[in-house]
Amino acid sequence: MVIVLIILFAATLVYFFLSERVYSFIWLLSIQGVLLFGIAFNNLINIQPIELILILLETLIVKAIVVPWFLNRLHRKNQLKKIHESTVPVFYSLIIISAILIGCFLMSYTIDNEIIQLRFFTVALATVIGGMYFIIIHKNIFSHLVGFLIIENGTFLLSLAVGGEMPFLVSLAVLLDVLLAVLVIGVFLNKVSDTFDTISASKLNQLKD
Amino acid sequence: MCCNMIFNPLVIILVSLVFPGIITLTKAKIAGRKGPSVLQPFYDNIRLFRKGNVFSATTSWIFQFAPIIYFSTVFMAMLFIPLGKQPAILSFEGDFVLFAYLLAFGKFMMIAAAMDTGSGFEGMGANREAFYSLLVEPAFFIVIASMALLTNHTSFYDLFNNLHIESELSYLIAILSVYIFLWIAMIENSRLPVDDPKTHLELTMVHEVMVLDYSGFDLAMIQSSNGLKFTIYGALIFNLVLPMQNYFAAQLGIFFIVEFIFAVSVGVLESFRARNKMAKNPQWILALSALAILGFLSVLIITGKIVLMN
Amino acid sequence: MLFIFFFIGFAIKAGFVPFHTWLPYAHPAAPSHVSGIMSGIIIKMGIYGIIRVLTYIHTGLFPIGIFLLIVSFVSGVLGVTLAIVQHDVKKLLAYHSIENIGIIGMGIGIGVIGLAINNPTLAVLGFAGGFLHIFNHALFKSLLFFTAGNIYNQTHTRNIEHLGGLIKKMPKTAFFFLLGSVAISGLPPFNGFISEFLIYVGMFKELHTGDLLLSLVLLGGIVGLVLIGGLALYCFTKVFSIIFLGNARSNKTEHAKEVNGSMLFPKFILSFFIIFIGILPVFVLKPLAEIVSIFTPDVSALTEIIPSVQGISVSLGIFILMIAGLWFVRKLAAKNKTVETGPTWGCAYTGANPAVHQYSATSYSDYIGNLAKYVTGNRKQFKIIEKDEIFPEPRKFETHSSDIFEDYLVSKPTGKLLQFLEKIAVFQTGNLQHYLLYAIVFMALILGLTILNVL
Repeated sequence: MVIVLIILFAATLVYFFLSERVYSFIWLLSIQGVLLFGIAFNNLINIQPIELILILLETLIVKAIVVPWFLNRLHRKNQLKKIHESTVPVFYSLIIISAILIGCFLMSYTIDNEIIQLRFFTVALATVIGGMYFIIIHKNIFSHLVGFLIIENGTFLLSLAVGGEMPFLVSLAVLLDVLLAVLVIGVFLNKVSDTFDTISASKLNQLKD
Repeated sequence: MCCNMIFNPLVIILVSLVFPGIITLTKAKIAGRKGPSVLQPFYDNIRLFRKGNVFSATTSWIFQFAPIIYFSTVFMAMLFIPLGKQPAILSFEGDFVLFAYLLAFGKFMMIAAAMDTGSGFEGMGANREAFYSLLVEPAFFIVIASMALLTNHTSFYDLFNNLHIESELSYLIAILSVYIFLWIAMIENSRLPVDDPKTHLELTMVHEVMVLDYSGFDLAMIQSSNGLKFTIYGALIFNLVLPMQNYFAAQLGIFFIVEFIFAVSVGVLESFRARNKMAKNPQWILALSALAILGFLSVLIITGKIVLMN
Repeated sequence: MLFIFFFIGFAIKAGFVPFHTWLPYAHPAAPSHVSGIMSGIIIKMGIYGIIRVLTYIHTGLFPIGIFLLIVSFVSGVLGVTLAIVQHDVKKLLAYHSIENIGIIGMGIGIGVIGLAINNPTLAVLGFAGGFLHIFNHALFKSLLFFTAGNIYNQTHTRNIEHLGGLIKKMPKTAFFFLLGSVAISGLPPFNGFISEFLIYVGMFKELHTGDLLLSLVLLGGIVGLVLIGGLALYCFTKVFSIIFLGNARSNKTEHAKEVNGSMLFPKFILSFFIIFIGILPVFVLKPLAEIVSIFTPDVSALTEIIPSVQGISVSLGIFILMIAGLWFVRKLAAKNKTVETGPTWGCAYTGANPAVHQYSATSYSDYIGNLAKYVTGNRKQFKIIEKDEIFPEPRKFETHSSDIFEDYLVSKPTGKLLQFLEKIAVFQTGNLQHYLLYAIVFMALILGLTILNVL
């Protein structure tokens, strides 16, 4: 069952690079949150209930509901652009993300470590690299935020892969990271778009004090 | 034995007579209209068969020859499809390669005939048709490769008969394959969201514009081949979702039901989805191949080539 | 390592990417019948060299196989992409030779991989497909070059943008060109399909054996062949349609008429073989088995595939019968009906010159040209119409395409080398006294160095 969810998670990663509308980015983030909830639930059902509830809280509520809702509100309040074009044409991005997925699967074939749980590791690594590639090709700060959240999802999977026994600490750190990032960038975006009219990173680069 | 051999094509031809009618009727009902009868396209074709022809002076023998070749390729492709436990008339190892390439030959002749008229409309449609079929072929072959990897066989009949649904990942692969086949069928038959068969604006035409200059016997042949092609893809999907049955009558019943649901879902999809921006079509079609690669990787996991359980 | 050096040498002869830049210049310059032989046979000498080297190598075959496969994949896809944007018909055919060399290389690469992992089926089918494609390619490429020569003979232009509607003036030539085009796209019922079929079946059958790397490599091979087939179809519909169909695009085609029989005779022979191998491939399996047995003694895979090949023959037989039958039915049905001719549907306006608003070659290839901008170097030159220009002046619109490998691998280094050499050329004055001065300086140098015990 876990494998099914992991493959669906990889499918959402492919869809991130196909779509260009911000609305679908936000939807995909919440779907990823739900899938992560399923994966974590399956994995930790036999560990102590308090950790289970915390993980539940983190993935289902924070990743799947709170953060997308916050992003949506941010998007609407500042009347940001609805379509974020990428610098690399989508055609090539699709080929690149398929190559990244195949490369990660090939790499997992050569890893011979006992501690790493391979089924999570491959897709987690692909998600992290995919998130970084997402940030590279988009110029808009909002898309950078979305890319950062993809990387956080990938790190969560990595924590499941590496630290199967004690995900509590890692997931707490990730949660803190996510909340801080979203809050900071949200506040920043609010203030920036109140003063200026654009949030394009290349124009904001010219801000000097 | 003789009765067995012609059974498959007979059933498929029967369904193809009503298939376009069901799609039109579904779209009409969703739009709130009464809609024509289910057999209306069939009557249209009979009427067209009896009419005379009007040719453009610019065209040559290719224009008159192409619909015949197109119809023959689609008919031949139909002879390769098994229906559950019923073997196809022609079945050998690697027959899906011949299947795909025969259909490509039909497309080649249709594109040549479209350019034959020397009109800008047909050129546009021919250009796009060639490009989109170029992009959709890899998806088809990757799905077949996943199935070949899973079942160690290489002909349609063996592939479909040995496809066992064991673990949950197989369910996912089956759903993924059906999803990809559905979209391949929509693209190859030039339906929304890639192409709109009802529009006659040159900006949005792909397949319909290639047959703009046809009339009479030729047009009837092309339209019947369209219906036949759709039914063939429906038969492929049927083979994918067929549970293990030994009852022949049950298989036949499930075939009719699957084709009916396929036609209705095509109508529903067409009614509720807008057409893609023309410039976004290539990447949309390429995404199908990316998803098919994912399916291939899942099959690799199932067969244990990627060892993921430790 | 030794193989890499041999390969580079033979690859330049065969025309693998990125050593292919000489091909598009050589083929159009030669007379057409020589181009046909050049493309059909002389290029294959490079392939022969690679195969010969392979018979001497018995270790390290797996990386060699993968290397061959990757280079052939790139050659195939890039070759046909570059071919699509050309508008000189012989240059286009030259680029197509690169693509077909890619397919042959893929077949041989698969065969070598099969040898490396001791899989006789894969080895046999890969090699058989590759070798058969060598022969097939010679057949249909020569046919295409000969027909292109016919066209050049009659219209004195190789630029397809100036042609059109030739099918009415040269019907036999058109028929042969159509035959060649369908064959080179690898479509049934002709012989290009058979060789690709052999490679496909080899890859599909052995997909489940071997490990992850092999499965992914085979998947890459399958996707490569599919892409190359699709792109070749795109390219040749464009070429055939623009040259022969539609209306004439300029007056160069006015005086074209069918060539006489002696020019058509070789084409008959070639077409006969193309159709023969396409419909009855069983007869070529025996000679192929003998050739392939040099590499692997176990050629049982070829006998295993006979039922498939016979299936193909039966299917194609039914296909041709059906076409003939339908043609008769159509003739019968048209007996009592009215058949009129009229102008092509022009959306209710047929007053314009019909040649002007039909598709041109550049428009047809625009999709791929735009997609592969980095490789084909598609550049458009035009002056933009400004917003305040109320009555725009006449403008020119030009598109150029060039080969990126040529630009970076050949032209730029040679340019720099020439610059460097020009600086040194100062010493070449052509004056005898200066040269004697150089000789005295050199002797003084040698004397001085000997005295100082350096030399």
